[in-house]
Amino acid sequence: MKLNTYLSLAAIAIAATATGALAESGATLKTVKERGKLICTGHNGSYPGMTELDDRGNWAGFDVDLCRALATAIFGTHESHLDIVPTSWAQRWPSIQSGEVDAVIKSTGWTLNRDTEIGLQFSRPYMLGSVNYMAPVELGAKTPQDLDGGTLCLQSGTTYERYAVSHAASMGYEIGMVPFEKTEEMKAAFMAGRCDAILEWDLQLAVFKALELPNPDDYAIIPAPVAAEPLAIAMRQGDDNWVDIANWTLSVLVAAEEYGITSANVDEMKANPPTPEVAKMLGATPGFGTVLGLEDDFGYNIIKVIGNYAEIWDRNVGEGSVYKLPRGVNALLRDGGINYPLVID
Amino acid sequence: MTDTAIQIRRMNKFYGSFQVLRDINLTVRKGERIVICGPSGSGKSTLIRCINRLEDHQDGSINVLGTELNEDVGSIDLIRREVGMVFQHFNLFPHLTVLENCTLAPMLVRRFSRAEAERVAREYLERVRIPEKADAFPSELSGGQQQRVAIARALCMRPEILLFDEPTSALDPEMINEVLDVMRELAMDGMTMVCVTHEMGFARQVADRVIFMSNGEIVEENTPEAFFTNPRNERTRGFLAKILAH
Amino acid sequence: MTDMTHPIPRNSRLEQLRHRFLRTPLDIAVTAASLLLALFVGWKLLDWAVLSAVWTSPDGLSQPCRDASGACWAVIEARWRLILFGVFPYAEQWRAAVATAALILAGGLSCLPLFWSVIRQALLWIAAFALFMVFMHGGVFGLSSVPPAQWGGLALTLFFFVAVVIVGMPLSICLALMRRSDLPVIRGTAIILIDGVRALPLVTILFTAALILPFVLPGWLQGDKIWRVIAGFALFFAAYQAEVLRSGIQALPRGQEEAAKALGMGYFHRITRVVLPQAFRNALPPTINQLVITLMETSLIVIIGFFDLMASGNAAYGTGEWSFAYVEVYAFIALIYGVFVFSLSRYGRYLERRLRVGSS
Repeated sequence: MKLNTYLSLAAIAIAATATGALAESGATLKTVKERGKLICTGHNGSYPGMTELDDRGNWAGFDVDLCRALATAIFGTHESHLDIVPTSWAQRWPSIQSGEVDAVIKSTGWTLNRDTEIGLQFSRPYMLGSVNYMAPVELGAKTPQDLDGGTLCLQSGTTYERYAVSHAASMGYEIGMVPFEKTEEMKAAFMAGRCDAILEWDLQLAVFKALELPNPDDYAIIPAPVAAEPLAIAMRQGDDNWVDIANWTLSVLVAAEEYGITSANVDEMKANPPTPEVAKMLGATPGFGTVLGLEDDFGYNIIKVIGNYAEIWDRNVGEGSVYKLPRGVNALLRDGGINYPLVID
Repeated sequence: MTDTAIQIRRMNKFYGSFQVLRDINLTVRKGERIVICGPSGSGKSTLIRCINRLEDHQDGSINVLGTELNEDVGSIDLIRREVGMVFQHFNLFPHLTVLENCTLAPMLVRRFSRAEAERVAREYLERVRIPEKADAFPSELSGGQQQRVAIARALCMRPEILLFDEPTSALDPEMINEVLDVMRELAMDGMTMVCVTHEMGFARQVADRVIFMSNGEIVEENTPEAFFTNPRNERTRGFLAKILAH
Repeated sequence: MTDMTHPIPRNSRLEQLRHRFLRTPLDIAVTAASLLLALFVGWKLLDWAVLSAVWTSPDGLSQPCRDASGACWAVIEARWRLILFGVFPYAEQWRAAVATAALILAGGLSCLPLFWSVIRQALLWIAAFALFMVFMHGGVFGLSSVPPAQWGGLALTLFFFVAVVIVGMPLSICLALMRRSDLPVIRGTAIILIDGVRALPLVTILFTAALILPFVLPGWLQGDKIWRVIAGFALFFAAYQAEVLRSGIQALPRGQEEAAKALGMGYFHRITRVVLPQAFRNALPPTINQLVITLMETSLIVIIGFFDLMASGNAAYGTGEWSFAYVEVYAFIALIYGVFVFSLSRYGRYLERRLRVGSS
């Protein structure tokens, strides 16, 4: 990836020269409000489940809904207040650094290099990109350990190979590696039964299972994660207010799910808030928005327009979509996952 | 108004350190027909190419129709407008028809209207006896026909002076006369002509003066009568002996 | 295998064929095997593409394709507007269609001899671009404004290609003429520019134009990303095309320019009326080549986030419903590129035939 090397070097160089001149707290919100639009990343093509296009060329997907939530938090609606610009993977960093986009919401992992050298700041993770095994149901494997003595088809030279090796070592099972040059070859070999399992990001497994495997019901994703990459919103370093807005927008989505607030019942919830926290979050009592530079009812607007975390999940990658991806680790804490809202006090 | 067409004084020309023209002095009056001959490499082509500044000179002066030739683009354009040239290899524009070859420069340079330019062009094509080929492309013509078109093209600019740079050297023998005939008629009409040519018959009949060059110098300048019957210079005699022998 | 000294009977085409392919038993075997293989592959292809193909899906979903063994052309039926117009607002896509048609029409017209003059070409393309901008960009005559970030698909690819050529072609002429200037400064500048640009990969130029320039240029000079990228791409095109043209110019006999000079024609007229028409004619085959390459290379803009034909193709199958049908989508896109490239090369052929009349 010579090109990517060039780009990350360029990105680092730009970050280095532009440090200090970059965003101060509140600057991004001010720019966005003056412009009347939030500019968010799309994709140059499609990334199934996260950023895709319907038959009419409308953006859809998990990441797109988060862009919409952020725009709604600021403007009360995303209609005509959100521009989604097609953005390639390589283009993410220069785009955010140059101010061409206000936030990168593009299935982006939070890494040391990005956080420091490239000069980005991340929100709390909005999804854990869980790396899982998938195996034929007839094997009866319920946990990774059940694959002991089996074989794994994987793409050589990827991080997944490393994940599998270290996971197997630490969990005390053995699995033979059958490496392939390309994803397509790996998938074909798996479909032909040349190995017992494959290892991938669970969303990719779900896409593969739902769309490419001839009999999807014959295969199962093994729930226990082998590894995980936290996906978060990337922003310019230095604008604390903007990071706050991103974090609390994400938190509202999770909190609403936790409190049972949906786009369907949010009006009723606002009228008769069950707890003081809900009252504050939906703007029935003041103080939630102003501290962020937003309207006090921005939480209400997000839920009303976009829905809560569960609704976004179901619509784009879960049961309401063709991918039927289970929540897995991304379930609420009370349901056995790792998702929890921040505390409103 | 002077009757001098071209006046060259003490002109020298070098290619780098190699001197191709040496102390040239030449005066051509209006209406005069000059034939320049000499062995190849003697600088005769270079000399007439200096007159319309296809070549520049380093030293001395060239005055054409009262205008001094120098670096100034304006004076160069002015002189080129009044001095036509006919080349050894015709140099017709292959992407244009015969008629377009003849009208291009008059329309662009003389600002003739298309109708006027075409009228003039057809008139001269008539004169060089090739009117029926007006819509042909040069590649469809014989060498003699192409050279006659080239003469018509030069005439369409209504030049005061016509320069001929070995106009028949690239032609097959049977085509030479059709070109020479046209040139003779031009001479009759009083056109000022400077011709570099080996056609000694033409020189004898038409020229007012014959100039013999050798090694970049004008060796002899004489009336045709004297030039052919009683050349003064030894080198001229040698050249004539060779050229008239066959 | 064949005896070359043996005289080939010329009495009939059939005879010739027989002589070439069926002379010895081995020839017959090889011919038969090749024919069988070709028939087999052809049949398989026909079966996949036509006989067993699913052409339409009443509800716009992929279900009918899932049980079929052939191609799923229903994906094109469901997603063609996405492929042609990308993320252009759906309700306004008629505008993108009109804009694209304007470009194609202008391209067609500019090929007619009627438009073979600098002024007419300029007027034609200015009109076409004005029309394109009015419909595509809008913001005037009551049309809503659609910024370039929302342009996509075939409309964007064509616009990009045309813009690059329209900007790059005059630039290449300038560079080629500068390259043969007598003044060392001008010649040197051209050489540095041409060699410098050719030393860089196109992707680097595109990335620099799209992503690095905004950090270097003052705000008022930046413009939209699309204009910067077009400028960069045009420079790249011009560097190569300049050399193509220079070869065309150098092939001219020196006498051509001398004849024009002797007729009193100034530099501008010599170049535009005598040198360039012949240089373009000489350089026609490599120029067509350069155009075809450029059309193909426009697909590189996808990596700086433009939603061009390739990207919208990717988006067309990149959804749960259709992700299995990528072969069909790519076949469709190949067909679109193919139509344009084929037209270009046919036009090149026609030009060569037509121009041969007037060549020396």
